[in-house]
Amino acid sequence: MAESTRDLWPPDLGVSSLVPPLAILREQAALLSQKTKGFLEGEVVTRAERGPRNKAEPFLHEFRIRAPALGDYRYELFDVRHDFELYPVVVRVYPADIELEADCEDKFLELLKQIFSYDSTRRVIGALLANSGFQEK
Amino acid sequence: MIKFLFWNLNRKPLERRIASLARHHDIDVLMFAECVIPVGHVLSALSEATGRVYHRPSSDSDSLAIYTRFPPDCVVALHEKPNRLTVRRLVLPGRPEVLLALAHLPSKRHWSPDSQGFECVEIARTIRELEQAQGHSRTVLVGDLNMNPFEEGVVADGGFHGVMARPVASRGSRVVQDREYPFFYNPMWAHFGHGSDDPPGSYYYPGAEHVTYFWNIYDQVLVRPALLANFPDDQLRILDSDGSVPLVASSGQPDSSGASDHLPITFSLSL
Repeated sequence: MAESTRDLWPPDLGVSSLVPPLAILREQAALLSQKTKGFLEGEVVTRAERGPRNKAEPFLHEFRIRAPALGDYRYELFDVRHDFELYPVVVRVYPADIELEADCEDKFLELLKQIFSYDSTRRVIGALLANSGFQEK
Repeated sequence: MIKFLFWNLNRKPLERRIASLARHHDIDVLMFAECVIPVGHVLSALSEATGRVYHRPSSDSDSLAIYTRFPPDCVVALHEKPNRLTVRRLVLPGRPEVLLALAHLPSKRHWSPDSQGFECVEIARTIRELEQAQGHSRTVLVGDLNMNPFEEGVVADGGFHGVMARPVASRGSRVVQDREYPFFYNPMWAHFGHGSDDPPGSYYYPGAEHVTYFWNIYDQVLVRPALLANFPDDQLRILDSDGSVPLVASSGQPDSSGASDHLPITFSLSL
């Protein structure tokens, strides 16, 4: 007769209701594509490396803008790092190389909104669109 | 149902015709050979005609081009030989992954039939290796093969091994001299001549020599047996109109001045 399995796990596995930074970044990347009619594509490239004994190296998400009409030219706008815990996140913004921190989802959203509104970001997007031959109709 | 279109554009600025095709046939994935239209022109034309956003997934190829309504990270490059072969993973949420191999083989003007056949062997080997690495063979091979479905490179076991009958393809593979070769189902055989309302082929060439077929089907789609149930034969068409304007002249032959010397093909996959 088979022994019954002894389940030592708690009923609540601690599934987080937080939206991961990666999901937020992908959503914003898709929106950039929609807003520019595919002339610019937001791309999120994620790296996660596990150190010895699960000492986590930070998750690293690079947010890039790809211009398909410019031979897939890519511009890295910023990157986001976080630990196994989703928040806080550290955001490094290029080319100024500024580091900003958000300790929760709401603050991360606010921070992204701020980065997308920077003059430097808008100049980059404007230049990429102009060089791609984008015309708003 | 996912709708695909392939067209050799003959290096013509056909973005308006492309956009019309995309609108009338509700195409999800557009694939082109000999496409030299600036990316921005294609994106603008598609957006204007369909009111939807199309994407150009990242690519090392210029003239072998893919545009899609799916987010570009759903069409992941797996292998690229610029302007000749690109193999993509089509990864759509909630649907089984498909390998999409888009090919443009060298022309008969420059290559002998023997060389074309050997090239098929190389491409077929690449596809088998990629299938093995991905752990499945839900593969679609599409493109301008510059060969008819009955030519050795398309038919031979070490080549594409494309067969005309579903029951044969559904056997999966066959063993020759102790080596196993997977089949492709090649539905293009049924599209020669006037068996349907479609044109008798996809490419017209009246060669001034003793043997000429006039109509050829160089533009083909082949599917692995694993996708037979997902590939409705009646959705495969050779198109003679972009939905508004004919792609053929009054003779019924491709209108190579107003459009391309090849006709587009369209097909669907129910995934």
